Amino acid sequence: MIKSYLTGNSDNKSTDERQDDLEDKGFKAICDDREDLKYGSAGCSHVEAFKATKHGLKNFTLIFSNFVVAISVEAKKRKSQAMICFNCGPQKYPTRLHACLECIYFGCYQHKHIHEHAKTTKHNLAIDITWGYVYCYPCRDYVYDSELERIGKRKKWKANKLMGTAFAQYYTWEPTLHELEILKQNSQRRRISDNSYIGLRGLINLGNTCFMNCIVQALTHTPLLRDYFLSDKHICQFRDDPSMCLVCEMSRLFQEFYSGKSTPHIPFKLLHLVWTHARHLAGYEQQDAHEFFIATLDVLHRHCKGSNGPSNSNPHHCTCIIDQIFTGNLQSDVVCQYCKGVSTTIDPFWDISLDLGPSLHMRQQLAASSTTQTYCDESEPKSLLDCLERFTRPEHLGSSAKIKCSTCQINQESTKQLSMKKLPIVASFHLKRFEHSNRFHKKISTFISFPQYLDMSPFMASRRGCKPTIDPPSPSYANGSQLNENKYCLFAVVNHSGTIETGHYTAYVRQHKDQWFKCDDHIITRASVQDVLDSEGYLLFYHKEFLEYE
Amino acid sequence: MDLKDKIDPMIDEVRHQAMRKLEENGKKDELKRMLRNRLNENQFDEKVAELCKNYMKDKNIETLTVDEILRNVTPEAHRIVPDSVKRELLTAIKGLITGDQQ
Repeated sequence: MIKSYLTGNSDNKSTDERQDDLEDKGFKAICDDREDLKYGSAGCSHVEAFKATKHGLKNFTLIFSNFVVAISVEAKKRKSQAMICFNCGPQKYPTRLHACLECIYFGCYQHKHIHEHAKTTKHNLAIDITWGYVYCYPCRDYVYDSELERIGKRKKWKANKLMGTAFAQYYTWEPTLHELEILKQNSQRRRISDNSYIGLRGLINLGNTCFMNCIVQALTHTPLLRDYFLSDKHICQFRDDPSMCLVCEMSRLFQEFYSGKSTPHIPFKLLHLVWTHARHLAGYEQQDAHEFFIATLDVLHRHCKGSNGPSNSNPHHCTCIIDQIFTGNLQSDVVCQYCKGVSTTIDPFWDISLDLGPSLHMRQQLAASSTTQTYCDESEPKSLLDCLERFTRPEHLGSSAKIKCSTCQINQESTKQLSMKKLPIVASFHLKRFEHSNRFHKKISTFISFPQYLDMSPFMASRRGCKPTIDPPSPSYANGSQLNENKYCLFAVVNHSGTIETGHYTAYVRQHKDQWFKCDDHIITRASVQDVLDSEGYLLFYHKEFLEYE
Repeated sequence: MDLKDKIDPMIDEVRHQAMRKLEENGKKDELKRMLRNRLNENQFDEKVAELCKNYMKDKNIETLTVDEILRNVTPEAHRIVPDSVKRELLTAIKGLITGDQQ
């Protein structure tokens, strides 16, 4: 006890080992570390001999973690200074630098300096500093060894973790033993051709349930959601009764859509679950598709909780698949007209509801100047961009709606302006076609044009105030913002036909890259982009074109 | 003679310094990651794998070396890197280097 305390050696070791264990755990979670899978284990006899020596694996690990991946700040510094071919000298930047695995020597591959070194010293093995592959001089080629590969992978993962980018890395999928077994049992592979109907399925109307069908179509054609469900990522939280889980039902629904069956699907289980979990939608009345959409997201979000739900670092920040895809942040700036003090609040949103028709401000102006010639500085929105422009415009709150200013400490007139703080991966826009005021209920059927490709940059909090046309900010990589990051592409449109009392919902969805289909309950027909863009539009779904690796 | 040898040694020195700097502050890893992601978006990996497969098809696997594949596939692989990716990487490097001087 005392001895180990004094030397500290054995203690250190055990913490090291524990550290390694922890590392392993995280590593396994990321890229399935398979010891059991021993294919092509040893590269060549030279590697085997090298591994058998006392220093072999130690040297390899040391070089790999210090020079190939540089797992610490000091290692990075050391690496940057060591990037010199011993033969070419410090003036030359080496191409394909290799390190000898036997002694301290760096030589470039380009001028065969590493080869010369191996020939004269009989040091057979060298490691490529850039990629970490082992070159065997007698074999005259790079060699694969599963043990070395494993060490390398782990060190790489550790380095990425250190950089805070462990999850940002792209990992190629390697099937596990279990997956290999399944692949063997199901030897038939499906090839998706242009005229394949896979992923498309009609849905039977169960009595005024077109509001549900159109949303299901939009959801099942959301690329990222599809990827999530088809890769079987959901872990059910309903241990005692999984049949109550809406996420599991969505999972089954995706299986149905991609089963290759051509008969319409009968979504009675889904309807039942929605009735159970969102009671206000129960019954055979006609419902609002938008309300259904929000209610569904809410139930899905609640049923995801616990698994990949709220992160431990911030309980208010949920990382469930619904929030990952649909949640954005809206910034609201209230400016006191007296002291110009700004108070900012940020709220999450799942969709953006956009007003159509004349604004309150316009109506007031029109009413005031009913006899004289009407002059109005704004017009009714004619396009989605108009709507968004209006949505993010500063709005005078008026004398009747004074807000207490935190600086002035008294109620002051103020303006309020909304802008996008963080954009969601899927931006859903709700055109408020159904107008409910205390005087009348009516549907606004004005044509609102919407683009196939949408750039949200002008509506961002960070860009506000700067005109998008003048002096576009140069694409700066350094702060992680790219010009592309605010670009969206249309992938689904829900339409309502009929009046406010009675009507029918249909959906246009994009499938197989750029093909469009119209989903009218159980009938699915091909459509053109123009059909989609010419349609009235009630709910518009846009997907980010470029995804950052988070 | 390699094109690289013709480059003025002064330029090589500057290049070396820049690379060393990027290596030291970890930006090189960031650039590498960005490049890898962009190439993946363009299915570069799959295309190169296809090129290699095609090259290897009628060769003797026992005697074939990575060097030989590299020599034969690299020119075409260079060619299929999308211009937009090259441009983006160049802008990113420029930004990092000039930003450092300020």
